Amino acid sequence: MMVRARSLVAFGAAILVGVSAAGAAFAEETVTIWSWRTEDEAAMNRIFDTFEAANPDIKINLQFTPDADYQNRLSTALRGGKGPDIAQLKAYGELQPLVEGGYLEPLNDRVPALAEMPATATGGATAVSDGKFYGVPYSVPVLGVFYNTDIFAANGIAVPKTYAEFVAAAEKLKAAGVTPIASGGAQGSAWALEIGVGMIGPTIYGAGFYNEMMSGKANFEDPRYIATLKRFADLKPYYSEGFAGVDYTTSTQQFINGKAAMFFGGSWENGSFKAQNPDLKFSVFPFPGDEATDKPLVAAFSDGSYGLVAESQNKDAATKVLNWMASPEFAQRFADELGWPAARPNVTSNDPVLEEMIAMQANTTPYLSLVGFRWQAPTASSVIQAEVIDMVEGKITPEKLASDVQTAVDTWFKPKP
Amino acid sequence: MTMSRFFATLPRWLVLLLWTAIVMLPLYVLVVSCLKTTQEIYADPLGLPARFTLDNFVSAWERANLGRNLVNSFIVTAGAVIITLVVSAMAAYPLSRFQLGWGTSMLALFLAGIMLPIRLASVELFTLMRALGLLDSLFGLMLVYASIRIPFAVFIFANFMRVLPRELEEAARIDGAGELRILFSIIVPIVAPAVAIVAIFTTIAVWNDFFFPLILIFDNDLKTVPLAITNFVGQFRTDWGMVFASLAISLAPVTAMYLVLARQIREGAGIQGAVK
Amino acid sequence: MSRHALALAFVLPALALYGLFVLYPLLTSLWGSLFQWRGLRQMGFIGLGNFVRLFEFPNSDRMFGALGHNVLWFVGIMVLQNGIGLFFAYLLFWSRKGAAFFQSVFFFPAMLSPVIVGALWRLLLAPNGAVEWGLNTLGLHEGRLTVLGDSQWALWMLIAIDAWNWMGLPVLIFTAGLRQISYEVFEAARLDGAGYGRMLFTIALPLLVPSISSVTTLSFINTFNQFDIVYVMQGVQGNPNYSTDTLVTWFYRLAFGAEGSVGITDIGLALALGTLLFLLLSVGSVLMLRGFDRLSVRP
Repeated sequence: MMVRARSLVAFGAAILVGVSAAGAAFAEETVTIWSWRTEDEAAMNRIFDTFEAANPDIKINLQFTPDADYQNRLSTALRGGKGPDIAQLKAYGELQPLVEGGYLEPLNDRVPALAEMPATATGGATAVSDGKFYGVPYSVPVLGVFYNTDIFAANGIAVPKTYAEFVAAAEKLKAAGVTPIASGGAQGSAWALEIGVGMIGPTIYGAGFYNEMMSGKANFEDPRYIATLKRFADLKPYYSEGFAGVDYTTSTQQFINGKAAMFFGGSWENGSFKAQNPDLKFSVFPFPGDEATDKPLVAAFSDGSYGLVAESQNKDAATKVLNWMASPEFAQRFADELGWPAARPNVTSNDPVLEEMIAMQANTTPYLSLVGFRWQAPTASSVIQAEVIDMVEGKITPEKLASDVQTAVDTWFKPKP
Repeated sequence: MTMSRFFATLPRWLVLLLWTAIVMLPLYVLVVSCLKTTQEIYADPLGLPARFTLDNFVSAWERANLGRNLVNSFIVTAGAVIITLVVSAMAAYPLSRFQLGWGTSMLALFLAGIMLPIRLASVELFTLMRALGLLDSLFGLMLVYASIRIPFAVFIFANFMRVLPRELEEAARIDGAGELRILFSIIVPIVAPAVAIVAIFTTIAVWNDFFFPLILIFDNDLKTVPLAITNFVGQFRTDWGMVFASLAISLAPVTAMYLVLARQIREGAGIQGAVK
Repeated sequence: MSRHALALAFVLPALALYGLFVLYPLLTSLWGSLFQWRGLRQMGFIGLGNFVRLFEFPNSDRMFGALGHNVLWFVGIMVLQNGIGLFFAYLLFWSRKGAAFFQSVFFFPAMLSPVIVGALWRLLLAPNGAVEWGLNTLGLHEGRLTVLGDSQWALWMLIAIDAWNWMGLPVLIFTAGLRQISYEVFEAARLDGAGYGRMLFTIALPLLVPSISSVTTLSFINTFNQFDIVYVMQGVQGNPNYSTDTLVTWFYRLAFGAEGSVGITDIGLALALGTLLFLLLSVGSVLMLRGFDRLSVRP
């Protein structure tokens, strides 16, 4: 009934204003890809030049939207039937609404190579509803501390092996007049601070915690999680001046321009730091725990994937592109150009920073708030991102933030004992 | 000290100049920042540039695709203004000058639109635009804007037309002129101030709007200026010189219009509150 | 062709556009708020189910938080923008010279898109930005300025910026209103020895009721539609800690799935919120206009 009334109105209106509802026609061989990685624009274009050279019948049109607007733009465009052919997709819970909306094609038959990829990578691109793959994953980043090797050397600081050494190093840098840690999440970029919390977590709550959380043995009000939050807040004296007003872009610039010694981030920063300042000497180390160990536990997750849009007009060409993106060749090009770990483990690397990150991948645990608790609104992430600045500024306690997160996820989270 | 003494003794212009400074200083910072390097802006935000350079404008223009966005904004604004003027004048004419039993209630229906929070219907508007194939279309955006501005325009036109003497069209009717001709060649020229008010305020509202392009436009090549600026600022926010330059470029057309039409705009805004 | 048919033909184009793009989406939104939604699909009729959910945890926190911010915004604008605007208008009324110039200057920011105003002030108020530099130079502040990242201050900064943006409107409307009062009234009061203050309260204000009425109603409608400045300056979540969240930013997150950058929408909740806001605005505006009508002095 509703539908009929609606289409009648639409029909009448179409006559009235003389609209021809002709969709835009694309040339048959242009495949449009959307991505939120504005930082990687140049590198991504180079990677796809390789593909275009080998497949002269397909032209790739890459379009970038800043991360803050991307999810919105994609879901709205898909709703309007205005999406790309291939879309970069967020992982885990953030992928599900698009699958449930029927906007994406399952890829199990189209891209057979997905079966050979490691589960850590494909886990983020799997639908809960039917267990099928809906995207070709591209990377399993780890979270760590990027540091300016020149500044460390100039101040006689070695890579810290314990938390105490880490604080001592930060103290020394501060005394030398350098911003120890570039950090900021103002104006809607608090996801970058959530990364900091996620990075510190494994060194406090350990490897078994993720499963305890999933099975309901532990929750966010666990003393180990509260200690994680507290440690993130304790480092405030070493964060950028005016922390509450600094946003992600500004903090990355402080590190890239050599004004700050360290930066808490994920593997993806490697490529964009290099692209923005080729002369920057930097590397990465795992955030240290209370005890020194050879291989500290680090947080890792599947960053996202590239999926095939159901309404695409060029599914065959797009499938060809996706098959290439699932190939070892792509993984190698991706690692070479962007310098972050690819979704396939056996890439070779001549980049010391990337090597360091591949070594870090040897001992990982899932990035808790993203992998475990971004499945339904209100997500754990939305609460952490909203309150983390106030917590660091001392306006609310870590206990309060932890209990707010728990109360929020309690509305939907069902533990699986 | 009594209020009266305060008014009598205080140099009034001092207070007025103070607010003038508050209005002008941010705009001054905007203008000088366009001419400086980002380092200079950080070091001394209020000082004059060390050397005069237009580099920021060049890089903003090249990287922000602003030429395209300005053209889009211009097309949408001009289209929306023309549609609004024509259909609103046509609707206001019979509603304000014919003796119709239903004129008043029809007018009330239009007037209700001034208060309707159309933004809150954006989900359904999106669905409708999709059904009409008008997503990602400047023409679609134009129609939405015209529709939103019609209530205000009808209101202004009806107010101006209501007070005109009846003899105006009587004479023309006796000469056998059609109603359309009477409206556009006799009535509209007389209510020129109303045309100016509607045109100016529709222009300002449409040119500056950000919400509807945000939900109805996806194609980078179809973005209007406010939407493009938002993305650009988010992406390049640490290159202050370039961001300020892009803001300056987007302000320029409106500023030019204001310098030319300041008097009409002032009177029009005053009338909005006075017409009741 | 009868008069009625002719009139209808003239009204039709405007009515068709207005009906199709404004009334129809609004009415279907009101209707849709009574249904359950899964993703983008309208499911069964659930009556007031969505409205009930608005008042349950966790939505109630957002709802009352955002509503409170809108109310504060309205109060703030009434005092900061319209109160001071009235004061400026009264000053301009007595200083015949240069009035036009000041009016033009005061109204200029209203020419600028809220998006651009927001971006400009975001740069000015950033740590290490122009405002910090100015305050530190004057010795009024020390260290880095982080008002926009401070959950106690951020909302008031946004309200102040909004007032800066629109200060010119009350000034112009009140000046136009004052000009309609005949000058002799003031002259006579002056001869009776009334000062400026007394004249403002006994003569100007009562006669300005119609202008005050339209300024208040306009401000009411605009503040409850507040979105752009928040979006540009604080992100769509009304950071920090939802302290600048408004009803429309929350609506936008529900409708277009931008909560915590997750594409999860809740159309049913969005439409219910829209309906409530629609009721609030229409009832509020009508009550306001009526109330002021009673206050009006009939000359």
